[in-house]
Amino acid sequence: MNQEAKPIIRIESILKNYGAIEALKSISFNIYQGEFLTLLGPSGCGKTTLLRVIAGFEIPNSGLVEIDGNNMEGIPANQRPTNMVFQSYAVFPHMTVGENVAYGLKARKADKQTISEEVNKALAMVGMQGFNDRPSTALSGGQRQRVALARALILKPKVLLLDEPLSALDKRLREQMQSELRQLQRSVGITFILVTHDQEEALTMSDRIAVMFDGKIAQLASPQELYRRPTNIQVANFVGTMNFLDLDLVALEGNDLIVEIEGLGKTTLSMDQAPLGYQSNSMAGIRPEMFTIITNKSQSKTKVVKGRIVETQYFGDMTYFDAKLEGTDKVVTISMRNSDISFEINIGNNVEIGWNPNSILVLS
Amino acid sequence: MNFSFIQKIRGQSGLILVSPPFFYALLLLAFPLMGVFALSFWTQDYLELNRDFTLDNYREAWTGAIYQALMLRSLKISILVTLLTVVLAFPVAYYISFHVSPKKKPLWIFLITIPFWTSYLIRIFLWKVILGFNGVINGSLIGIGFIDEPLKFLLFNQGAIVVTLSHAWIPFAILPIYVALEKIDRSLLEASEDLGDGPVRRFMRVTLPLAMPGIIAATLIVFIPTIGDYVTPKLVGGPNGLLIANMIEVQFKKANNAPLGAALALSAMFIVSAIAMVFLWFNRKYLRQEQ
Repeated sequence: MNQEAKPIIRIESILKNYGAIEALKSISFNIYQGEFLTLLGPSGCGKTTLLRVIAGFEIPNSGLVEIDGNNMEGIPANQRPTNMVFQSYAVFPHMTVGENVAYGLKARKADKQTISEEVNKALAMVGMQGFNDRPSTALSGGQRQRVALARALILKPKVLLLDEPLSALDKRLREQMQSELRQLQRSVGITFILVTHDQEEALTMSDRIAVMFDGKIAQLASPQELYRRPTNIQVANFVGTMNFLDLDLVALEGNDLIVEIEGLGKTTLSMDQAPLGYQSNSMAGIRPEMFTIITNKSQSKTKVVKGRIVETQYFGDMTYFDAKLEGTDKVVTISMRNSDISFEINIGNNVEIGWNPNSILVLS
Repeated sequence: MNFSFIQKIRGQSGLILVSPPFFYALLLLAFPLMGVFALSFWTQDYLELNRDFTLDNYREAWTGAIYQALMLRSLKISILVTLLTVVLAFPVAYYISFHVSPKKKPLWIFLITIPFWTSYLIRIFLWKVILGFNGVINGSLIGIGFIDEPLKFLLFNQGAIVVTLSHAWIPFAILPIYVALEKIDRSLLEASEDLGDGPVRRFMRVTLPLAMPGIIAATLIVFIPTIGDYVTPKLVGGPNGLLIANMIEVQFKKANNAPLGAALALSAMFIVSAIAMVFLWFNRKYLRQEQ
């Protein structure tokens, strides 16, 4: 993505309090034209509040929201160039599908001919052509979702805001809608801001993800960057699975950190592996797939530790193993592709676990 | 397990649950109504009832100038009362639903029911005290020197009936409208705003249509019983404020012509039912959305 591009939304020092509760604590960032940005975080982290501040449903206590170069202060939701897909879809029950989709154009007093053409186009875009006269109460969850999308996109907003739009759908439909949404976003070229608490959804759909905790943005990065180089323990924990091991600094030599890692022993790490530097409470983080159970002597990882399998979880393509590292009580999670396992591994087996110091992150 | 068997039992338990009120209604509503129906085709022959079938009572009820006038007046007053009640009830229901904090809503609903703590008759008498020749309004206006002698148009006319009945029925109108407003998903209102509507258009396009089932219920609840009220017109209506129900009472009692009274009662019932049906038919699209 082109970071040089002009931001479509500029958010500066947004503060929002509900009484004594600080929902948003001085949030600043830019969103660029055509981007698919996800606000990811646990419930209560302020992600929906931030979305509603952008939409104009919440007035921030201070700070600036600029959309396409215009300051949004004092501009009500109905005059902003944003449209929203609500968590409950908010499809009007007293109107047909066609009337729902036409709602915004009627508010703009478009002529009948234009409205009917645009409605048909919008319904075709979400794969619901011919549903115009269906009562909206007779729709399934997925269809409601599409109507809500068509109803928002027909207005050609500069930014489309999506508030947990997939959380009410079952897993299969959710996955299908994820890829459809992504394709739709590419084809219309509108900036999408999605709110979700589902890290998998965020990773698969977004260009960039803003991970929020406690009213602040903990990290704003691409999905790859976020997974490979989370900047702190909270983010690493929320996005994917991460093993955390105690860490002691033995020596600091130039750009090298010589450390003692719980269960893994003494090793040398590069300063690059500590995104925010070493602190006294830092821990060593390693993703489950960065461990390998050695089933074949020719497999070589730079380092090997011994361990005993205490738990296995089978997922078809993958198996997750919990292994207790030798000489400690520390249990780590190891994930293996089943196609890479050449003999059976059962609970109680003693195994050799290969790992590479490069895959360690120093996080705090 | 045989599923249809379970359904059968469930269906039967439903029947068992409704049967006591059903028999109660049959005994006290359907049977007397059938009696009145039969009565309306007979004639009063001094002290005896002549049980020969005749439509004379209906002919008189529908063509007699006095009955026509009373029926029209009753309809006019009922419609006025209904309009006034619903128009006054809506803002109250709206305020409670949208502006009162959720914690205080039960208190507000409770406050609205307070007028029911006093009897209907006492409330009508209170209006006599307020509107009367030496009443609260006249007394106050004379007291502040605004008028020299009491206003006579306050009491004993049709306006007094409308005011008194509206006041009596308002809580019944507030509650169904309030329930309908409470049921509106607030994100629908945000969606309307998000799609470009300001507050007024949002109200007309979303809030009002979704509140219609409550408004329709309130309208029927007020309109149907109002046309049969005969106590209020008697007490505050004055000479020009008598309604069809008063005439029915006269026929049954003083005039000793129960068959004509029965025909008048059934005619009034028929007209009210017809109006209610037409009203429901015009609003059918709002009632369908419930499913």
